[in-house]
Amino acid sequence: MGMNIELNKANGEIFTAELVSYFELVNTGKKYIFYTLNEVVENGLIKMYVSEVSNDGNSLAQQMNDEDWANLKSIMKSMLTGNQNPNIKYLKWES
Amino acid sequence: MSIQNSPKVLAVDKNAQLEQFKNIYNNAISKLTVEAEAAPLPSEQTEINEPKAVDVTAPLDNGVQNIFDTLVDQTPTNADIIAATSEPVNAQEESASEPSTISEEPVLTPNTDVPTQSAEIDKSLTENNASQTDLAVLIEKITKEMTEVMVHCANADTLLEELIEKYGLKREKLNSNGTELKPATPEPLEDSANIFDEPAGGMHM
Repeated sequence: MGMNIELNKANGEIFTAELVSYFELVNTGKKYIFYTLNEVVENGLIKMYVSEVSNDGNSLAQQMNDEDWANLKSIMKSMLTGNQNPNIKYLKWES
Repeated sequence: MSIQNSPKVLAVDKNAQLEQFKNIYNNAISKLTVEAEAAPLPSEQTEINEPKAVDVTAPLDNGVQNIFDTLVDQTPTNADIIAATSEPVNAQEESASEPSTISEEPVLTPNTDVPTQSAEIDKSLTENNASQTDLAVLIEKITKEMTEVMVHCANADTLLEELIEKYGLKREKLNSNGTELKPATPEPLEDSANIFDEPAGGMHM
């Protein structure tokens, strides 16, 4: 069971989610968050949300370009394979 | 490059992927927390390298304080302890009439003084024990000699008695000052006149 956090959508809506991961890409300076609402889908899989976090850390970005998304997928794969990526700087979530 | 809506939604395996993401993140945060607590601030790095320059009166962060505590424990010198209590050395010299102020505070007394004092006490006790032993030996010696003297006196008294009996001497008391002995008074001889007294019957021719 992960840590429950409160997140702000861009429209100001506040909701509670379970934190999965929160980090910064050193080369771009952008921050990303993985979170889940424990929503189960077919085949017993669970939804996990990936979003960019604003620089002030208070809200989730509404948009993400393809390049960033492709980069994130590559990073997620490297995480699952256990490779240490020096470009990833894990951050402690502070509400 | 197109812009897509965020957040992105992925369907992941709970155990194989979701939990793995969580574990990786939690481990990384744990390491960051430990390193943050252990590592001192860069601005005070020189102070750590030069422990003698640490200002013990200034507020210290947890990292440096922990190191300083270690240093204090390892190097409990009199100078560090006196400085830690903000008591200047001059005040100690000026209060010569009260030299025991610092030494009486158990917090300031280094641990090395306790065994030193104990050693001094033990030394004094040892010396006292030695003196008592010497006294005992001396007393025993004196007692022995007194006994011998008494024996000699008894023997002398016995010898004196023998002489008195042998030569018809008499003991005389000393006079009041104890320095002069009265000469022995000889027994009066029979009256010579009595020798020629004729017996009552007279002489017969």
